[in-house]
Amino acid sequence: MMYYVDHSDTLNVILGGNGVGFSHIENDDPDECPCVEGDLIFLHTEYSVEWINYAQSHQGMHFVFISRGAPNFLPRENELPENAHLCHIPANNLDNHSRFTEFLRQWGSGHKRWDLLLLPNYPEHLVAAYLVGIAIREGVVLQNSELSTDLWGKATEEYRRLSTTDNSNLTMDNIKEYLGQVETVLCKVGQV
Amino acid sequence: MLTLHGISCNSDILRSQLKHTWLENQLTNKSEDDIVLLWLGPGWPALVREFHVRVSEAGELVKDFEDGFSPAQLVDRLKPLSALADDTKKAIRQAVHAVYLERSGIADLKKPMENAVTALSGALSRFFVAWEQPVSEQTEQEMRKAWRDLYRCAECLRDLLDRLPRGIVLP
Repeated sequence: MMYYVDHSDTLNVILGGNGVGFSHIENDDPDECPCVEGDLIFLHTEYSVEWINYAQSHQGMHFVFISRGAPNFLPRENELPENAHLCHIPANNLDNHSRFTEFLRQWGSGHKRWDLLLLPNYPEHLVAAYLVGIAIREGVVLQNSELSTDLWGKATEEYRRLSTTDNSNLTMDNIKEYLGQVETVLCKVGQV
Repeated sequence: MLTLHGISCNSDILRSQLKHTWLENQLTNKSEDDIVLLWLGPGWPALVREFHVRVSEAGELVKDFEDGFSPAQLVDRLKPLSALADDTKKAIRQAVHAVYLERSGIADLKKPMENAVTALSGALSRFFVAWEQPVSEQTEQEMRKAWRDLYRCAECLRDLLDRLPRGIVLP
């Protein structure tokens, strides 16, 4: 069984409405949890300490902490027992998020792909190129041969994708405001 | 300030827990009369159980936040940079960290944050003493006064936490 706890009572339509059979646990209180071994529980909770303690003593259940402002309002990873996980996809985007859909599909096939919940895609080549660009401007001597193959090409592809994708705020906050700056840096470092 | 949403950073998670889960959801959402009702009635378990832990977490955040939001930590996490020599990685880390410190001005928040945590810690201790007193008209007044002081300090720290970045900063 799959359950969700929602202290704010604002996510009913989301996890309750996606047609995959989530049940709502109305009390945000682990002492009243009806779950049994093997169940999966998504937690939008005000009592993460209590739920972490509960998870520690119920190793057969699986817990996922979600947040509307994820990952900002989640417990810290190093506080979690092995059967508790974080979801970095904001709770109010879960239903529409391809990684969540894939997670549920995998879960249905018996695979526990927690990594799908953990990290949304982000433009790692673009970010890497951006940081390298800063370092070069600050005088760090770096040869292209030291970098992974075609860093600049991949970074430019990611940059183009971001500048034309509507949901770019899911990968890099406010990127649009800084595209000019990023482009300038990429153009410069691309000549190295 | 440009921040990365896709990569978690412990300092940001701690900042959010302190601001949202603790200061906003447990402290500044209560009025003076709410506190008196708790004092006279069911008590306030979180005050005894959690608040001293939160204060020490706030101290940890203040100690580490300049590094905690730094893009230097990305150098070891970004796959495209994984093959770089250790010396090169170190040089990039130092360069981006220096630029981040210069452009973000984040270090300017250190002293005010330290002061705010110290003030809140003191106010919490005084409030706790007042809270533990037996109920009387006089102790209620003392408790109300200690609460107002605690509330003011909580607001001050919350406002400072609000000025911290929302993730790893790209300078």
